[in-house]
Amino acid sequence: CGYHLRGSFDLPKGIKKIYLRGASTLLREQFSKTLQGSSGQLVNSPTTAEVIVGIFDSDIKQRGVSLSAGGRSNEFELTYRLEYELRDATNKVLLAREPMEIRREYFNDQQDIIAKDNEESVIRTEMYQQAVRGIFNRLRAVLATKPK
Amino acid sequence: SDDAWNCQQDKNSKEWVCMGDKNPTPPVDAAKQLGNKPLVKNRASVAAPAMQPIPEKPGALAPASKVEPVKLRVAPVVKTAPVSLQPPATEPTTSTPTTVTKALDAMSAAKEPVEIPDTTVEDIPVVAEKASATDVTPAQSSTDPGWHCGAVDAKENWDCKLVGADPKGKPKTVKSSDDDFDWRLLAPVFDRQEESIFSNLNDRFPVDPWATCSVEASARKNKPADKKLREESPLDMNSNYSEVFDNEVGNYVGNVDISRADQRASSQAAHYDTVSEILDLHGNVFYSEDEIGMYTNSATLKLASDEARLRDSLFISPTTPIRGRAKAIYRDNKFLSRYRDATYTSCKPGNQDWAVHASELKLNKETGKGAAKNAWLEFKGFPVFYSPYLSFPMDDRRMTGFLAPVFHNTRSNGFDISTPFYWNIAPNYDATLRPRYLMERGILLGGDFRYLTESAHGEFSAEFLPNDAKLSGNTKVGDTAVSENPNYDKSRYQFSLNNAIRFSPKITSNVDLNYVSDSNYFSDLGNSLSFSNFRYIKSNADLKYIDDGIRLTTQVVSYQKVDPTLTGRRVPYRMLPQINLGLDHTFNLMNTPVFAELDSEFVYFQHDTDTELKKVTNPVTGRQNLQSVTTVVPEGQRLNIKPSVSLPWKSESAYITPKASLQYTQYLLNNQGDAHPDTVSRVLPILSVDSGLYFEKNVDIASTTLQHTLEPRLFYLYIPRTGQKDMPVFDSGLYDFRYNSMFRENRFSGTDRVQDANQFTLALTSRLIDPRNGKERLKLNVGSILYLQDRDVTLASWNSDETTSDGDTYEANPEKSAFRQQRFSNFVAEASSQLSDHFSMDAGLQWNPRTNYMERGNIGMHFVNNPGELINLSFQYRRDDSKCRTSDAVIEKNVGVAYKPATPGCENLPHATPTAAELKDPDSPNNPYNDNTTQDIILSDASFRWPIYDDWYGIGRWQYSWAYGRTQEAFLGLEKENCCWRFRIIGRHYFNGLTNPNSSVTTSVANSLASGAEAQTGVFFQIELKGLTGIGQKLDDFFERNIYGYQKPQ
Amino acid sequence: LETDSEQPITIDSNTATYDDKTATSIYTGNVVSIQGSIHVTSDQLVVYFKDGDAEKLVFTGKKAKFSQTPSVGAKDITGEALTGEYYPKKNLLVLIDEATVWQGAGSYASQIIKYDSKNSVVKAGEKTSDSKVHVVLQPKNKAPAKPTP
Repeated sequence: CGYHLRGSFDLPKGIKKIYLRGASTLLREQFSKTLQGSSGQLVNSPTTAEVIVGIFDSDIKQRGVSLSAGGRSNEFELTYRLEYELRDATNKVLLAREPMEIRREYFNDQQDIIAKDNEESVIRTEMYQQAVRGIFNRLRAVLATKPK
Repeated sequence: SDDAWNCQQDKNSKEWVCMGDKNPTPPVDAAKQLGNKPLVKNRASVAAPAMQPIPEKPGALAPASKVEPVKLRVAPVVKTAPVSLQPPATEPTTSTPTTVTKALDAMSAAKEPVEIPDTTVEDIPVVAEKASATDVTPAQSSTDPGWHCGAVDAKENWDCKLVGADPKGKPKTVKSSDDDFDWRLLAPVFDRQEESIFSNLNDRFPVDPWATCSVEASARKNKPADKKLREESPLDMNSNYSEVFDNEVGNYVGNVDISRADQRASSQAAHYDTVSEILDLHGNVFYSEDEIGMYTNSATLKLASDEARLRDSLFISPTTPIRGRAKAIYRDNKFLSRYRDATYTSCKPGNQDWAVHASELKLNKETGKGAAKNAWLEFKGFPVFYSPYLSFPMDDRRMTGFLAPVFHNTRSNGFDISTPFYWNIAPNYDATLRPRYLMERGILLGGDFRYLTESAHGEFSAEFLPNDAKLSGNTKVGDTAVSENPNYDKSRYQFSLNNAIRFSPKITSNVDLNYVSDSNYFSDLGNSLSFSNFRYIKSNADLKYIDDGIRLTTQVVSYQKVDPTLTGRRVPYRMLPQINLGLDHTFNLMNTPVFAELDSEFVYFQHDTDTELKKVTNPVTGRQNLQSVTTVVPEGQRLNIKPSVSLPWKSESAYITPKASLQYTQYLLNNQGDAHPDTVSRVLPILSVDSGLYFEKNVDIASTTLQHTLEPRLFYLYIPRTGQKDMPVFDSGLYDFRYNSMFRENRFSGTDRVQDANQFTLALTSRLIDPRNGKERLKLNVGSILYLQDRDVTLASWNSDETTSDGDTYEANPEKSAFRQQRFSNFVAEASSQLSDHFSMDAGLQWNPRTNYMERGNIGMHFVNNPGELINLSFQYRRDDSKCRTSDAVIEKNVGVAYKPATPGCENLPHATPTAAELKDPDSPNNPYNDNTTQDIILSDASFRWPIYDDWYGIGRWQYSWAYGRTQEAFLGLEKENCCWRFRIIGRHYFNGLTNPNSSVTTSVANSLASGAEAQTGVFFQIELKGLTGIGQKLDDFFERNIYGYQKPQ
Repeated sequence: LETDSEQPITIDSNTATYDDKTATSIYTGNVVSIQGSIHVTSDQLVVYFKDGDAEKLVFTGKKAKFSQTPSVGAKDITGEALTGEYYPKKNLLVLIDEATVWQGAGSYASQIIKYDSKNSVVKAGEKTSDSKVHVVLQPKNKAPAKPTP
């Protein structure tokens, strides 16, 4: 039916060393974990990196989106807004600064409070992982369209 | 020029001060008047006209600007020679000798520093006739510099003529029709000709100050370098005619255009003395440099020291930006300029929405502070506000002063005003004091203090309400003080401290402490816009050591309950301390990476014994009534160690990640009573395999080729079954079932419960990707879990308080047994799409195969026209069939009613014994067949921000709950946003539910509605004159939280 | 110098002719005329005599040039233009068409410049709106602009 296997999960060919500029500690942690998964690594100086990822992210914002009968929030939405840009080793812009937005909703009627705190931190980690995957997909798309 | 000087003796300094008065006498008699009347009678002590500042109150002027009278050679008084000589322009070569000699002997007089020589510069009459009668407005005569275009006969082409230097400004129609000045009480601030001068003056700046409308962008930090630049660059002068005497004093007549470094001046006539570097300009004078631009009829500039004084002039200060008119302008140096009788506004030329009239205005570029004295504010033609002293920031530097007063009106507090005062103590310390008056409750003092050092920053804020009139009840009803709560005397307060310290790049510490005096503080006094409907306040302090491969966090967490209904077991535990150690390392085994990880945690959970109202069945009568019971809640320490190993194998288009972990958990508990052990432990292996493929095909949709991907994913999880009833539930709870929760190794959050699992998660992700830029046009996730065995582990733990044992275990919100025996989980589908740059949609669906119900459904449509123009529509539905509902509760034997046992798994559900009448009434809260719980959500939500007319925006939101049949949140308002002011007003209908008593989980909806909160209404408004002050509530955060996609203007 | 107007005018050129009827003499070919500190070079010079004295000298050239020392020890004042008219008795020099004069720190350019050396007054341009005068005054501490050739 015309579908064929194509590369998506691994890092783009030949990209193993990435320098991350400006990311929050949690995002940085997910970047290094994902890279380790496919034997890449975060280097700590732009000179030795093959790709420089500039991140302008702030904290994840939380807001109540629905009220329970008693007038208390029982459904929360987490919104993670960040902007990122991709540059190659010579600091030439591969992808100009671009926003990315990740939203997650979860039910929390504020009954078992610590349990929901734990759930929220798991969701935040998953949002950071999704942000990292999103950035790698764009990096692959950008490198694919730009002849080396 | 033709203006005559009038001089009067100054009161206290006894010196003669000459001010050129405004009313120009017609040229002819000016000659007579000046010709014979000696200029100044008292020869002895003549101060330079008007250089000495008009004596104001001594203290008024900041000491820096105390300008001693400057002894200056009297600027040559230009007056017409008695004989008006008009050398025929045609006569090419010779000009009559008499004029030359006449001019000469006067000139010779001018050279030595004689006190009051008068120099005659003939041929000036040319200028006098041209200057029109009105003082400031230029004659739109053809000699006006710039292009003049008029329509030429029928051929509709323009006949343009350039006069003088090309101002290179933007073309503007000279308005012929009368402006549509809307109804105003006062005369327009600037008439049309002044506005055209402003726009002409505005074009002279390299960058249009009003281009970007915001203070930050235009506040370029000026570089003082050009002081030197000016001294070194030549003075370039162009004119129709010039006469230079002895290479020192020069007169320039006709379209004079002078420039030096960043300074540029143009006028009809100019006189420049190279020795004293004084430049006199007359007639239609434009002067501009990077710091300021001015238009006047006559001006004197001392180029050496950047001093200047002008009369009746229009000015633009580009950094703020501010424009206005002043009777007199004194520029003491490049950065300080003072204006007398000034009218100014920050609106761009052509827009006069607001203006401040002040007796004195001072703009100081060095300190970045503007100050006005006895200023009154006129808004849209109506006098609005007077203040003896008004200071405002001229760039983005922080400045001590009053911030925008905030006031609104709500039912619970009545009229509520606070006037914050910002105090910029030091570059890294500042404080904001917030006195606030609430009509119903009295005076509340609030404030916060911020500090910043290289390694630490933080903020401390506090609010204190000594005596709450409403609670202590002495609000007047009629004339007697009605006391709702006579014994209420406590003061109400709230404080919070958060502080972050970075000891070293790897070691950081954060502290976030909050405390409030009583649980209704937020709902009563909290700023009702930022109210976040929380039931508890969390305080924590942590110390982190983070390095690659190691994370060590120790923290202390405690909660203060804000919602009075949180009692007993539902009040969260305090964690004193919680220590997490995370290690991870990647090995390389035959060049496939092996990822090893260790998660370990030690927590001491501590809980106060609490009294709560519980339904207790009286063993004798069998009736249930509420008794206050002290509940003993398990406490203790928990150690959890979880090493894990995973082999993430990845290829181009497939991945498989087996992961094995071993979880060891050990409890050391107290107050378990004698029936249950103090130490409990659990050891569990956890095996999971995550795998996926990536298929792709190019597909043509609407003539664009998109990449369509199919990404199947299989996730297998095996965890053996082990009983965990003996373990208390400190921090575990059920995850909300979503697409992403299907790939987690545990269906419970926290560590107290590890589910027994033998299941496959089958899922498929499909995307439509635009190959050109890699953007996802559409993303669809579908999936479900195939359970190979029932799931026995639940959140139930044995019931520690024997007195009210409804059975040996207790679970706050039990799951139905049938749910735990399902073969398939809910079938989940989630989609999100960016159909076009303007339209995006997201939708979600969960179908329960057991009950054939749709358990979750949501759809949201978001339309963005230009940035800031949004429309959102969304609908949300949630019905939780995994949990026991009211209809699952047991129905007691009752006369004439068939006995109905509880649904398996819901036996412990507290149940009410319905009366016969209640059984028949489907809406009665006690009718168990009334099958709903407070967990259900059926709501629709619409929000918009849309332009209505000329910068006015309508903004609003409406959320209606179909489950409760009421509006949950609604506000509607207007917003106006343009260069010089921002206005917002919204009316809001909302719930802040914490004021209502009991609404526990399983009471029926009707029950909690009956006891539900009553709606609040409030009006909030904000007006901000950009570049000056602002009044009212900062509504940006509120809009950002309430309207999907709204972002605060930067 | 003030004494220039009393000095004799010496002129040398390639050719010289005198027309008694019109009381004019015409010199052509790199004409150099000197009177005291006044020094003029031009391609052609026409002198008009009135009862024996030179009343008006008109010199033209592809930028005729002139220079004079206004007072003892002062820097020279120089100028150039396509045509120049000099009235010795009135100490008045008029430069016409692309005229430029350099005096101390200032340089003056216009289509017509009148220089009265006795009173050291420089008048440039006319009072019509299409006349152009361009004056450049160098700042005090910088060297005055060198006369452009």
